[in-house]
Amino acid sequence: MSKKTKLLLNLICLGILCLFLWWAQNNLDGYKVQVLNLIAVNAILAVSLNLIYGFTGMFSLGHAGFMAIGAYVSALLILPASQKEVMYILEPIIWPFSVMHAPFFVSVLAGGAVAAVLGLFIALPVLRLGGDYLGIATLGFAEIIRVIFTNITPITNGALGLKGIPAYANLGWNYFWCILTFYVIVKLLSSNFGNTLRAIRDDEVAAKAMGINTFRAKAISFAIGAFFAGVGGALQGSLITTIDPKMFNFQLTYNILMFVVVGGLGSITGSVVGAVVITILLEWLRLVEDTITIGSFQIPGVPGMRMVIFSVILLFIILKRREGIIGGYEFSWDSVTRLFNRKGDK
Amino acid sequence: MEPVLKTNDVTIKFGGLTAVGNLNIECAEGSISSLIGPNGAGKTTVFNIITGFYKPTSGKVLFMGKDITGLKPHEVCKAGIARTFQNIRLFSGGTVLQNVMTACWVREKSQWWMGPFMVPSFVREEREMREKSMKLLEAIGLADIANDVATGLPYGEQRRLEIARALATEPKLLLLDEPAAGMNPQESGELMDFIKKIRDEFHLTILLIEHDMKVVMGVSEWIRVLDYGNLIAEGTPDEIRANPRVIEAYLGKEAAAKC
Repeated sequence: MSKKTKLLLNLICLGILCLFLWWAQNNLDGYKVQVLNLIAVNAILAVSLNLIYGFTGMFSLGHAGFMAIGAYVSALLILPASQKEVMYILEPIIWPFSVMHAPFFVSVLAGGAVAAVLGLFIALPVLRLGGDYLGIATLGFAEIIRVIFTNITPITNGALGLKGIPAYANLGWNYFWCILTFYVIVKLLSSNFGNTLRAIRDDEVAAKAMGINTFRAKAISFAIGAFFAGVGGALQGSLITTIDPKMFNFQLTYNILMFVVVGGLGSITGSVVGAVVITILLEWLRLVEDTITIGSFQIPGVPGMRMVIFSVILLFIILKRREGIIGGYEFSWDSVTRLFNRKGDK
Repeated sequence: MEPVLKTNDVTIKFGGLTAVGNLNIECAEGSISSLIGPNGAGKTTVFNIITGFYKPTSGKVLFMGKDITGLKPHEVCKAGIARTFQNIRLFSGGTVLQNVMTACWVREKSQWWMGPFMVPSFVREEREMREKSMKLLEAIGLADIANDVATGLPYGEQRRLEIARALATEPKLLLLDEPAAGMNPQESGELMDFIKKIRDEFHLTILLIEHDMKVVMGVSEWIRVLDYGNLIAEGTPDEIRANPRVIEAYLGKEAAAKC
C-alpha cells in the first residue's frame, strides 16, 4: 500500500472521528459526553506511560505527580485573576501567580512543559536506577510533589485545591490533544530513535555498545512521557473543573498503569484499547450498584459491587492474556489489507 | 605505521584481585589477532576495558593514537570500536532489520525531535539508513529474513546478525567475543571464511577471543595468550602451538612435561 493511500485512509478516519464527535456533542447527554472526554484524557495518559514503561522499559510510577503539575500550572493560567483572589482564603495568592493568564491551548502546553522540565530534573538522579528501584524512586517523587502542593498554600491554595476552573476542555480540545499525542509518539517510535528506545528496553548493555547514549535517550523518553502526562493532567483539571492535591495520589498512577498493562505493554493500539475498554467498563458497571429487577425477582444494589466485579474481570484478563488484550500487536493499514487478502484466499 | 589499537600497561583490580595486569597489546591495521587463555584468564575483561565498560585502575588504551581510556561505551563506539558479546545480546523485541538500523543511529546526524516535525533532511536520512542496513544484510546474507524476529533465528545466524549489527556502526576495529561458541564444525568453518571476508570488505582490524582452537589457528595472524590476567606468550599460530608455557597454562605442568 502506498504512502498516499495510507495518508488518505488516516484522513478519512480523522474525518469520521470529527463527524462523530460533532454528532456526540449535539445529540448525546452530558454524562455520555463526559465518558467520551474521559476516554480521550485516559488515552493520552496511557500512551504517555506506555512510552516510558512499555517502549523504553523504565518502570515509572510518577505519572500522578506529572499530572498534578500539569493540572495546577494550567489551572492557574486559565483562572481569572478576580476569581483567584476570592478563592485563596487561607493565605492570599502571591505574585506572579495572581495575575498570570493565558489562553487554554497555551496553558495546556505550559502545563506539559513544566511537567517535562521537572521530569528531566527527576530523571537525572533516578534514571541511574533500574527496574523496581526506579519504580519506588519515582513513586516517592510523585508523593513529594503532592505533599509540596499541599503545603505551598500561597500558590496552590493548599489542601482546599482550586475550584471553578473554566471548563474549556470540551470534546474538541480533548480529542485534539489526544490525536496530537498519538501523532508525536507514533512518529517518534517509528523513527530510528524509537528503535534505540526499544533497544534500551531489550538490552541496555548491547545498546551502549552500539553507540547509543542510553542515559540521554532515557531522559528524553522520560521527559516526553512527563510532558504528555502534564497535558493529560491539565485537560483533566479543566474537565472536572476542580483539583486538589489528594486527587493526585498514587492510586491515579495505578489506574494509568492498569490501562497500559491490560491493553498491552509496548503497543500504542493496546493503550488506546485499554483506555477505552476500562473507562467504559468502569462506567457501565455502575449498573450492578443499582437495584436490578429480573421478572419478579429483585437483586438489591450493593455499593462498591462494581469494583469487585471489575477486579474479577481484570484478574481474568491478566490470567488469560498476560501480554494484555492486544499483546504486542500494533495496528497498521498494511495489517488490515493482509487480513482482507487472507479472507479472500479462503 | 601507527597501530589501530594499543594498550599501555593496562591494569585493572577488583578489590585485591588483579584481573588484568600490565597488559601491552598492539593491533596493526588490517590484522586479525586472537586473545586466548583458560577460563577466567581475563579475556572478556580486556574487551570490557577497551570498550569502556570498565575503567582500568592504571594504564592507557590508545585507539588510532588517541587516548580513549575512561570514555563511556557509546563514545568508544562512536570513535570506531564495535564489539559482539559472549552470550548473544540481540535486541529481542526487534526484527533483523531493526537490529541493524538501531546500530546505525550512532552515525545519524538527525536529532530525535525531527521525526514528528517531518524535517526533510530527517526523512531522507531515515530512508538512507534503511537502504544502508538492507545493503549490509545483503552482504552478510541475511537480507531475505530482514523482517523476521531476531531471536527466532537459528544460533549461527544470530551470531552473524550480531556481527552485522556491529558493522552497522561503521567501526575500524571489531572485537569478537567467542564468535564460534556453540557452533558445530561446519558452522565454525564458515565463520572463519566469514571473518576474513568482512575484514577485507569493510577494511577492518579484528581482535577476537576464542576457545575453538581450530578457528583460532585458522584465522589469526597473531595470537596472544592470557593467564591469570597476565600475557604469558604471543606469536604466530605455529609458535603458540609449540610454546611450553601455553601448554602448561592449558593442560597443567605434568602434561607440559610429557609433551
